[in-house]
Amino acid sequence: MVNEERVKLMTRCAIYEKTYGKTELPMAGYFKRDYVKFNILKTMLCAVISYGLCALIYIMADYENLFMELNQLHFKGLLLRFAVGAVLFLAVYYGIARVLYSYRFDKAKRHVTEYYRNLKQLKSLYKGEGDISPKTFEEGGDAQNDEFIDY
Amino acid sequence: MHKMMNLLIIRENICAFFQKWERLLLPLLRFCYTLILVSSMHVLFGYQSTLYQMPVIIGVSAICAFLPGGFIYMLVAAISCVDVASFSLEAAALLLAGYLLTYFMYLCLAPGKDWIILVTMVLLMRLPGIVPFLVAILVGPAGIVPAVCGIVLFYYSVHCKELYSLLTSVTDTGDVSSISYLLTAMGKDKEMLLFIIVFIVVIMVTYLLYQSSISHSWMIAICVGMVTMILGLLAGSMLLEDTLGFDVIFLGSVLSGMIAIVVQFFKGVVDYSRIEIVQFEDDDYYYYVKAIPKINVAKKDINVKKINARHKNRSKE
Repeated sequence: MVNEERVKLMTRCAIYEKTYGKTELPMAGYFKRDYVKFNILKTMLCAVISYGLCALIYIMADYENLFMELNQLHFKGLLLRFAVGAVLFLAVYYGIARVLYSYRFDKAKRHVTEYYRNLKQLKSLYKGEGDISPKTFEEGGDAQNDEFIDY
Repeated sequence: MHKMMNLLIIRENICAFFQKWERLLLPLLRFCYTLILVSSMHVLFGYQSTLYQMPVIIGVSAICAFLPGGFIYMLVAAISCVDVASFSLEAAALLLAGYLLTYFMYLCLAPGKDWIILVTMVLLMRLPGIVPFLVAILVGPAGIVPAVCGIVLFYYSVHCKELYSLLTSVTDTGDVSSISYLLTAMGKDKEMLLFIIVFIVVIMVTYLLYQSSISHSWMIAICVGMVTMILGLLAGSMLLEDTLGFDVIFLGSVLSGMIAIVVQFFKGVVDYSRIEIVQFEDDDYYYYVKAIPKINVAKKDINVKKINARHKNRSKE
């Protein structure tokens, strides 16, 4: 006999897994600080490439003046300008990435907690019917404070 | 009130139609979207006509109908770069750098917003005013950066055309550096600057009012946004001594506002009409479930009363 309540819960969980879960469930494997740090690292890499591209465009656009400065042996000033620009650029990106990924993790945590609550409810429904097998709940978990604990 | 109800019923019918034909409609819509984009690239750039032959456009659109949105962005970027490379490698390199910068600086942080860049580029050709309303209603402030990128790329295409005519008209082009020319032209482009500033202001104003809890907030947001755009473009064109036509400022803004109202009305259609087909199993069964979201407005009850007088009379007889 198909249990209607069970099907509803399973469907809700399956829809979550198919949509937001694809990106949010892998987050459950991280501590918040690890997730944020890892993504900041990725963002910094993108920022370095972006800065490189900007510098390249600048050099190509203004190469006559730049070569003139190089001929006059103004290495220090030139390097300092590029270095200060890079530090400022990366600092801005660091700030943005930190805020953005913290926010995303917190948002995902709320959804994943809801998902695990549904799974728990499903488990209790199975237990109530007495047809739970040990294999049924090999996967799943719970969210506590900053961590997601896998079953 | 009755007319509004009719409109809501029409919307729900469209929802139901989407639900029924979703699997067919989504690739079809993506096909049309790519077709419009690539055809617009022909208008924006269009230096190499072989790239824009009908079989090529249709083939590319057919492929993109089954690919995710990110591929469409890459494909459009590749087409426009190859196109520009046919007359200036430097200009193509700068355009490629622009696309890459957009990708690394923004799309890596916020994936899935590439469509705003492409749609902004296309809409700026015909109806620029609709862009800030679409961004405010559908995305919010997160859409400001891609919209600005779209504006910059659009004006890049405009200056590319100027460069092309310069390169083709002047026989001795030894002294013309494409990159310097384009960067200087972009830096001095007051119209681009005006559109960027006005669009950012309109997006913020519309979004803030749209999110507020006052009644009819979306209608007020669009109207105030429309007025802000008209005033902003008027003031900007007077300050910068730039000649924006009456049709662009007034008619464009009013038409954009009206389209924004229609977009707002149909906003929920795609979201609400999404069917989820999921499958899972437990110890006893395999489940194949088709979950259809509930539609809020009940369809009009039509009572058909059949009065068969003759039949009644006969039965009496």
